[in-house]
Amino acid sequence: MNDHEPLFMDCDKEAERLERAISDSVLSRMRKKGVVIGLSGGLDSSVCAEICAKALGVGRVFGILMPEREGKEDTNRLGRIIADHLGIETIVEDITSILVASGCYTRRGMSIREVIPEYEDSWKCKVILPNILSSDRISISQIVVELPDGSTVNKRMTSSSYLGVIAASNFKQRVRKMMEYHHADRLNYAVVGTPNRLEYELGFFVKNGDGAADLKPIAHLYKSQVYQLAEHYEIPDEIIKRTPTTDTFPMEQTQEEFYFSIPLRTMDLMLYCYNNDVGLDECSKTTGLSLGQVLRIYKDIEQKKRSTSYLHMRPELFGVIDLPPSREV
Amino acid sequence: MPLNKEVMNIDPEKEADRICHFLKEYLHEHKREGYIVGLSGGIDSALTLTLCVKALGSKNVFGVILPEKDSNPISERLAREHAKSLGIEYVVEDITSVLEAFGTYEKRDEIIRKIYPAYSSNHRIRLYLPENILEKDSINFFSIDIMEGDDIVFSTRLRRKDSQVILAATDTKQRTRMMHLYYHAESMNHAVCGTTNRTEMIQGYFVKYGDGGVDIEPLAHLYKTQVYSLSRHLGVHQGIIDRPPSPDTFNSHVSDEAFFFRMPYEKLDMLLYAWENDMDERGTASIMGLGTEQVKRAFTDFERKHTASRHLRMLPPNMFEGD
Repeated sequence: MNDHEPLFMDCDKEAERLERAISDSVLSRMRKKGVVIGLSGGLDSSVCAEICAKALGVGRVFGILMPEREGKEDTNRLGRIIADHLGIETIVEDITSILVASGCYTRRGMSIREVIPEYEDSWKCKVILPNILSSDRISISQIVVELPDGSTVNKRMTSSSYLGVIAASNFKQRVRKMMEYHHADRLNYAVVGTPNRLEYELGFFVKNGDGAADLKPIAHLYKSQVYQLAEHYEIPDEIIKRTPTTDTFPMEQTQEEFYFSIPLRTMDLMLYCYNNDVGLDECSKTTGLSLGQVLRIYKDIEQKKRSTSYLHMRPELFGVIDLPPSREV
Repeated sequence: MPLNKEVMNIDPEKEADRICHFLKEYLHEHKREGYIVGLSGGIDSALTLTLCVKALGSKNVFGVILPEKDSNPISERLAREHAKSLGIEYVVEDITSVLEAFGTYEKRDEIIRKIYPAYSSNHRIRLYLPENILEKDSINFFSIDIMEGDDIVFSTRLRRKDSQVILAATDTKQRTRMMHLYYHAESMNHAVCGTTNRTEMIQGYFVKYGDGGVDIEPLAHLYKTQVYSLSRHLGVHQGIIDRPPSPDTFNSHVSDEAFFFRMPYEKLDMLLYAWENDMDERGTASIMGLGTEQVKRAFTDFERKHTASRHLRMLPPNMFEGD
């Protein structure tokens, strides 16, 4: 088994299948007139927008760019590139004022000050996880802040500080989703969720935030398969080449640093091996990792799946709501 | 079991214990330390809070009161009183500025001004569905009243498109509340407890990822009448029990009945029970002292609302094969 083989996909076939399924789902089953999609300028949302435009027609896809004051500048520019590339109607909604009013920035500052008392809300910051390949310690998150003079301070987070920072940052994903649903409700459209399989399966999304959607077209595709589809659809190069970021903290931060803790490409293969019961030896050969590393990552995958399982659940109901099959809740 | 008044009877003591057990089990399974309950000043959230406190004690329950400028001030007062009487910690966060930043009021008012150009901040509004469906047949379209003080100065049926836009704007109220509940839940490692009852759940009377966006729904199996009897038994604040249920979304009062259900709760719950259990219309009519036509109209309305809201109760479809 070589590096590419297991995740290689017949893109013509998959694209056709997806387009048909999406049209079926949105127009026939949900009886919606089109879809709303938040464009981040990243690969996943761009590919989703492309599939939907092909499936439903460009007139039935409504794009929203939602910058905020801490977002990267090219987020907007790349989002615009894909919107123009597809020719879909797209609006810009700056969400900074909503985040200010919700207390997103100030609440985050409050929690950061629990470990770095001199921190000011205007300073840049990010949360990172140590690379799991180099250590087996339980991943303790660290906060990195950038002082006005450009120097950085790096501190281990307490659990309360970590929870507070994440809870405050999650306003960003939830405000964006609220905006998408506002436009969807207004237009009688459905909302597209853009997680890929790594994010979906390992629970890298915010409940009722980017995890909320009426359909999730690429949740079954490994990241490298999303890349293949991007090539298939001839998505602009600049978007394909960009490093996947979280775009959640003001300091540059890759998804690798924040959540996956190993390169996405490796995680892709590892998750594939994990899901398909590939033996440790073979997995180690394919990925070029040592047996010990493979084991650590398997453990990490299991732990991530377990701790995020609730993200995939509907609210739990108490007792069965017992309706005839045609009327099931 | 034939339809009779007893189908709504519950053993309150046993029911409360069952729910408490369920509430505790969820926390244990998901390793959370307690519950966040959004307190609206209405009966469902009050009962939910009372049950959470009964299950966990006051220390592990945190109340969040989230008024905005259109809320009835009585709501906040009752919610505070109830929270205090249970001895829980709570916060009040006015979400008006978040809604202003989002454009909730502006987007709503833009449509209203198209319909009634003289509309100003002195006016109050309310939306409602056609009157009692048992009395008169009609499909579900919204009307709007524009009020000056207690007088209706303008009233009209809304075009579907217009009511859609107004509700797309006002639904941000429930979604903004959800965001704030999750902020507190995530920073305290708590779970968000929902308050939707069975009467609402089946007909889709909640906002997707708004008040429907929660971790657990402990009342979803109880009809509204059962929510009342359990509340009375557990000594929920009398002021809340006596208050007519309302969405509290519009600045002029409208009841849940006028806004959505189109019939009084006592009849609604019994009819819903009969519909859920596929009981025949004539038999139901004779037991309830209604005409067969009336029962038919109610059933048709349930069917429509249940079908239209099916997507609210589903997980999003995807093409994932992993699970």
